[in-house]
Amino acid sequence: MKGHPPKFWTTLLKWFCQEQLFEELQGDLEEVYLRTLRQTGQSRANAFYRKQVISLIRPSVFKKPRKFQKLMMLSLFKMNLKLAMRNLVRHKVFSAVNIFGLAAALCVSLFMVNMIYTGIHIDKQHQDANRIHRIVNYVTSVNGGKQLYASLPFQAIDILKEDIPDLEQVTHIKRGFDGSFKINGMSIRVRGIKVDSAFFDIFNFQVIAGNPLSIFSDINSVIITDEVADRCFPGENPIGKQTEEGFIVKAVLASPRKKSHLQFEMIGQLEKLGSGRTNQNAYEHQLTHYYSDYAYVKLKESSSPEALDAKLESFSEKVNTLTNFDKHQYRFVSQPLTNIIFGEVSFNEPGTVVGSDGLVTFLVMITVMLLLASFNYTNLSVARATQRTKEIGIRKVSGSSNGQIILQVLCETLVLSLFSLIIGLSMYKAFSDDFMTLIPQMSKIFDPQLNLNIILLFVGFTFITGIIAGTFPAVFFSKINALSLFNPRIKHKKLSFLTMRKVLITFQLTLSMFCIMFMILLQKQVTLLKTSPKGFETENRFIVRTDLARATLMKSAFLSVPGVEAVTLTSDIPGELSNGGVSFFSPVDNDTSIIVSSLWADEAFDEVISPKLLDGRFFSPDIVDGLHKEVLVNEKLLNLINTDLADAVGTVLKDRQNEYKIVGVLDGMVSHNVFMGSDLPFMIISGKAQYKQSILLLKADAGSLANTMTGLEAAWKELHPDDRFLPETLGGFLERPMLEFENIIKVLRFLAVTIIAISLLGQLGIALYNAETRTKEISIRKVLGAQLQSILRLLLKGTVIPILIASVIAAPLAHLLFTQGMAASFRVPLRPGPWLFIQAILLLATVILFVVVSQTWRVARLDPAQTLRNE
Amino acid sequence: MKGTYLGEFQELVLLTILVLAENAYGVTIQDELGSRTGRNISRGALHTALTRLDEKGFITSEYGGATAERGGRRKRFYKVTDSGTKALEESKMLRDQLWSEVPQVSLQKAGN
Repeated sequence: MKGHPPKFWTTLLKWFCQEQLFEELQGDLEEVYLRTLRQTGQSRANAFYRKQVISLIRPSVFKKPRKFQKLMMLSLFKMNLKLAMRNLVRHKVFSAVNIFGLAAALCVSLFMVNMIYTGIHIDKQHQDANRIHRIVNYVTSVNGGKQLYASLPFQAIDILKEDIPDLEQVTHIKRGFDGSFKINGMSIRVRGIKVDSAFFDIFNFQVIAGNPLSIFSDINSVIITDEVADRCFPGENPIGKQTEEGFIVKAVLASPRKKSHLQFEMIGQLEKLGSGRTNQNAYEHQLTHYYSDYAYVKLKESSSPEALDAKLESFSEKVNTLTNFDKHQYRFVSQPLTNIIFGEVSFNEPGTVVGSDGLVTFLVMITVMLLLASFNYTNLSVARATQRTKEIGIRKVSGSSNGQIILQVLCETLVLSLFSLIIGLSMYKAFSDDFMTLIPQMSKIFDPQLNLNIILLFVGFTFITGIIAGTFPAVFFSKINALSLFNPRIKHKKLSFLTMRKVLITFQLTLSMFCIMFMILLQKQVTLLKTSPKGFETENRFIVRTDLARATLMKSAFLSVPGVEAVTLTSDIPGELSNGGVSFFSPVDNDTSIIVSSLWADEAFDEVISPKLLDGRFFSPDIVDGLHKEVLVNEKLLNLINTDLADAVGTVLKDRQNEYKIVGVLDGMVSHNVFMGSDLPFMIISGKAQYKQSILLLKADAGSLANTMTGLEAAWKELHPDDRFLPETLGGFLERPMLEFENIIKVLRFLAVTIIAISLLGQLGIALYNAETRTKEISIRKVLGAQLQSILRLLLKGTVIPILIASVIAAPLAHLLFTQGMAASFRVPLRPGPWLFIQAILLLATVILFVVVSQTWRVARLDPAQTLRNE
Repeated sequence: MKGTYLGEFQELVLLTILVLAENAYGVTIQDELGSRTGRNISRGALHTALTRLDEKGFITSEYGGATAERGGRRKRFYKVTDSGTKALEESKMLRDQLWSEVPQVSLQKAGN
């Protein structure tokens, strides 16, 4: 019986055993194996053999890198570095394209990574930060949907601490405590908050001077931040300075900028009667005012966020049973302090947050940018493969293993990434200030300064990118069969990587195409939004805010200023109404009440902003403030109460006390800004009662605006000797959301341009490569009689087809994402026609073809006699 | 190198090689040791001991001819060098000396 020892175990032994030991050891084992086989049979013999092989797994048997090999590795590494540098220098254009592409991508990613990094580290400086939570609430209104608000009803905060024993501390923060310092005759505005003393127990903002708690013993004192102190009182002691409103500075805190999501420049106190709570009018006590009060809590060590949320649920039920004028439903939940920056986005944020959507956007942008840059590298490397196969072949013939070749290509990639990183970092340094001005909101929490951690993180990041970009070409090169290169009889395997390259190019182009389409659509949308009619006039109209006590006097004073054509007193600004405000019983069934937005105005309303009517008339000039009121409504409201336009005028809407008689139907007057979706139903009510704020709207003569303004200021000073005159143009006020939107667009445009630039660099690289490698082919074609035209066609075919494919994919994608995702929330969504897309395609195609033709043209025009002279 | 200290197992391996004289290679050493000590000795353990002895210069080795019963692989025959013999002698002397100085009484007690 002749058997063989188990093959697997022999192979295993051969794999791990040092070569010079194998013969002896395997021979010994086989001898014993055969003997055992004869004596006791195969299974015993096998078991014995297996056991013996396992017993040989020991250091003295293992292959080990000996000193010589280590030395080899080191010198190989040195050689790889040298080779990498030589290759970089020899292929200057190739390297430059890759380095700059990757550098641009790294630079953008660095911004994103830094934002994420600072976002994660914000608010960590407070002691026990993980026990600090914010209480937020989902507000469900009767006519609107459910929205998350960071601000709470004033009343709810008061009962929070009594009701929930898990809370160690509760602080009530109220925003909208603004003041100003008069410095050299100029007022410098300071934005502040009011807090109670628990604020300083929960949050640890560094105290620079004074005792912050002293503001609670003196109602007329405030704390300012060091930033304000530096701005207003450089080189002076800010303690004891007085604001224009009469508050005295008692302490200085370090600015929360870049340290906390809470943003303030000044802190006033909210504990003593006289400064905060007595001014609360009845409105706020009806649980309807949830716009400016915030609750931050510190959990007891024994409690958990889950327990808190459970208690908040029953707390919500309790609050919902309280008298609630607007019939809002509240659901309170807790939000960990450190999650606020990247958490669910809520309304009325007291500071700046990024939100979970923002975080996802950052991550997607990083991935896309780096992928694009990696693609460039992979693409160009594989394209150059034919040039380099000989080099690799020679290395293989002279004994390089696959691993060594992979190592060499990876080494090249890493050297290249390192250069990119250096350039990317310098680009970041150069552009970070410009970038910050694009995102004024973000700059409050985002610190563009790089620290060692971020840089180290980024070096790691770059290497990973390099490895991802380099692995494919590396493996590709290592798979090259050296024999096939030198022996013409062995057929070349068809390069399946050609397909891969085409896919990558098409992907890049698709992305660029998408970006350019989206940007064109956005641009058109902005124009559309800007020119969308408001249904009233804004030119030469001004807003002046005053208080109810002086409003009527102020109005007549303004009217006597020459150049003022009309003045009206209103409760809100037309075009920016707040949600809800007036309720009445439905005329269809009298039990349900309907809540709509409202604006209170006096009889001069139509004179000032000149809205148009579909039917009826404006307010009669002699309206009295009584229970019977005249109202103007929009068509949406008519839909809501199921009334036809023809029957609308004369209809009377009632609540418990008041009667609202519809005297006119407005034609196309908007209720709020263009970003809030379609119009809401609203009514304009005659009279002066129940004004939340007193706003004077003025219509001025366009001719002598400067004189009119001086006159207005003089009239203002007579009634408000201590207050500054701060008129705003109505147009400017209504433009504000648009400006924010345009800032976002600027950032998007910056990103789109980067993406397109990276892709263009890739195209340029490929074009250069083609031009370089196909010179001879073209010359031969020319000698054989090809025309310039047909040669150009040949060279451009590889570019035109991907552009066409990219267009076919990107156009519907951009259309879908834009119309469904972006424009859906605008009042006047853009309905993009095919022309816009054709425009985008033509634009990108022109740029790319220009880049490509600039290279191919040179080659196509070459004199064949010159290029083929030496053949 | 771990000096010239001779471990117990290494000493046994050295002696076995001497006993086997001309026929000392992996399998025979393993068998001989196994049958004499009653211990089950793995080839791996033996290999380590042989490597150590080689490093210390106590043994040398050379390949013999190929044999069919080993799949055509050659045997490696081991020989004890002079320094190996010397180390064994020293070890024996040390033991003898110690034995001679052990009092009779304690031997009896230990024996019981």
